[in-house]
Amino acid sequence: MSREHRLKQLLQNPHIWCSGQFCLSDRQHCATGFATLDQWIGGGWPRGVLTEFLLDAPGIGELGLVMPAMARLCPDLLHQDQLHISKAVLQAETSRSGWGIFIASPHIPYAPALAGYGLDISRLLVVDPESSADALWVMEQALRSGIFTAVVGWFADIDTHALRRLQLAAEAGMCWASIYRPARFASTASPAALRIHIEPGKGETLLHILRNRYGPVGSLSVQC
Amino acid sequence: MLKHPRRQLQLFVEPVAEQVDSASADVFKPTASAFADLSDQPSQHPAVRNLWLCIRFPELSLHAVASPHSIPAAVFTDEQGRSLVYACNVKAEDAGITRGMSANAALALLPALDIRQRQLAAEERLLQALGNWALNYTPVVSVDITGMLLLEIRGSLHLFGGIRSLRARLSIELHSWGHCIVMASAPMAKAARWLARANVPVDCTALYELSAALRNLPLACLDWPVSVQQQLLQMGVRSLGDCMRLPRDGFARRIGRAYLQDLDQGFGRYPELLHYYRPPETFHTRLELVADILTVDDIWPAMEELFARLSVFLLQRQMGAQQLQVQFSHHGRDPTDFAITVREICTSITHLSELCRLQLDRLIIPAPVTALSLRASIAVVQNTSAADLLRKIPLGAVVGERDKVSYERVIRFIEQLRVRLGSHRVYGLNVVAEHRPEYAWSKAEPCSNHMSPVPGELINRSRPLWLRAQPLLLETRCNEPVHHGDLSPLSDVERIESGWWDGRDIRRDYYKAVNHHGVRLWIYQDCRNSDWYLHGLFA
Repeated sequence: MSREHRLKQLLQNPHIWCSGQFCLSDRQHCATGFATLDQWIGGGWPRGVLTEFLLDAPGIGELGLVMPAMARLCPDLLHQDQLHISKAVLQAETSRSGWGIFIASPHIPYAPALAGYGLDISRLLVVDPESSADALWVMEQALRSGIFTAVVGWFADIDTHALRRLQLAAEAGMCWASIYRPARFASTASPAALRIHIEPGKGETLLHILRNRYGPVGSLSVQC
Repeated sequence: MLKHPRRQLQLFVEPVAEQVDSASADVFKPTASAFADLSDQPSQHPAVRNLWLCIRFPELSLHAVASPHSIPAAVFTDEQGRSLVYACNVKAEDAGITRGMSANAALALLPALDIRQRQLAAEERLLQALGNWALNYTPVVSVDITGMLLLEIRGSLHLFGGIRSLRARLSIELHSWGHCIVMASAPMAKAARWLARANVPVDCTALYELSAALRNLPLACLDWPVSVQQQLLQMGVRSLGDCMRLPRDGFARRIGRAYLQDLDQGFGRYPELLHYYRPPETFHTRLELVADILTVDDIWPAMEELFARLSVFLLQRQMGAQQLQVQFSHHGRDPTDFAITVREICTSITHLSELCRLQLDRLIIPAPVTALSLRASIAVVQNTSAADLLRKIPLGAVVGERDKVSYERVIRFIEQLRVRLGSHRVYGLNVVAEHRPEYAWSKAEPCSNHMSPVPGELINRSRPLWLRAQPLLLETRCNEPVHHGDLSPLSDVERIESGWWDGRDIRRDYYKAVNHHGVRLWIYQDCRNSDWYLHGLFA
């Protein structure tokens, strides 16, 4: 066996992470809706792992970043441009689309705006727990249940142990899980596979990818 | 084909020995005589499709008070101040005890007699339980309080392989429980009861056999008052066949219309209304604990026992439960209880016990538990969807084109969340046709209107994703609003003026603004007081 062959075999070990190389995993990705971002993170938001967003203050386009992907997963087919679809196909498509859940959002998710992105709001569940312990429990249950395709949670204060539990739950449920945390946790360790620090820019949103299992780290800007 | 001559004289003459052969058709033939016979009119019943099986329990009252089988035993009731024997078992009968004998006389006759008082409530409970059991064989069951069970078995004959095997099966089961039974069947429920009361265990499956079967029954099987029976006896009428030869209007006049109707019901000329047995609508079970439960961990195994009983109950009836009430009893304190309500009638015990467990985790039980009780209100499940036998969504599988997530799963998940967090904290969203932004959305019940889409004109792409629950008053500097720095507008003004009809009218100028940190805000100026407010954030 040649040395290159042995090296290649060694590198195929999934426990070894190679930076600078897009490691192609067979996990599913949900297309983000932003072409440049798709290229950076290996095709889209990864399923079965935790995606972490870090931001200082709301209102900088953080939810708009995930809305196109959510709209694709829970589409409101009636108001897309495919009005020529027959009713049977429409029903079949709607029955196949998944559910989304918002857990402990900082403000009220505004229904007309959500519908404006093409999301089917009848497949969205909003949970408003009292304490962060409850929020953590809800997120873990939602991830494990297998019902939701998109689980989005907001946590002001969550420790690494809890994050690890969420990561395991996401693996069990194989859905797209994302959490929003304050930016001061950017320097602390986290088991999330994808960590993005969101900053506002002039007319656009700056994304600093801090950790990326599916591609390079760096900064890019998107319009959202 | 003989005809009875001068039928109207039969009243005062000794009943003639039966000369008619068993073909009873001629007895029903109308005659030219002025006084039409009781047995004359043909059955006006349409083609009789029922077959009623009557099971009589002669020793029901003995069974209800748990009398022993091996020694002579009897049950007495108090009638007009005297204690009379109501029923006795075979051994007592052999010793000479009869029904209606006074209890003292019975004891004098047989000092070793085990005599107990009749318990009506226990008998009724036993009959209800037997009625419940009988539902396994047929859905049409009627319980007679005189200790008889009526089953309509025409529909069950095919399933159970004919009347003989059905009877054998029933008698095996009942004998195994220690019941002594007499079974008889007839197309009419009343006729079946007569046969059972007369201890004639025949199967009369067709109408034409009925008359032959009933002909020789004694009058006592009709369960008429003693005075009426005496009256008929004095007239020389001793059997049912004799009774049938009496003229109808004479019978009605001298004996009574009610008894005429009774006879008609037995022969199918008059319909009989029966009370059908319905299984109880609520499930109530109680578990008395041998030792008090001291720790919370030990409660769950006891609860599982109660849930197992509920599961058997629901399975037998093919029904579901909608509301559960669990109660824990304590010594000398008020019991602790909690209730669980599910939105749709649930047949799955696992789901109910899961909800119960979630509730139990949050419950504080103040004292050791001495007994548990479970009460459930049950109802018929409206839509039973057949469980998907082959396909299941395994967790952890990579789901490409999403498998159908059934609404039942979502509803159950929501119920679990609601039990833990509270109903008001889990909701869906709805768009409302309103210009006022704070009323343009509402909380909705998820999964309630599956396919109703958002009307196209209500979708507004210029609205922010976050709406503040209460608009925030902004400080102004030189008449310009500031929020963590100066704000610069990004869009033209949008005036919203609406709501004069319910007293919450608004008149606002909305702007999309951005501050120098880059946060995009949705602010408005109230036209009435020129105050600036922050209403939403463009996330």
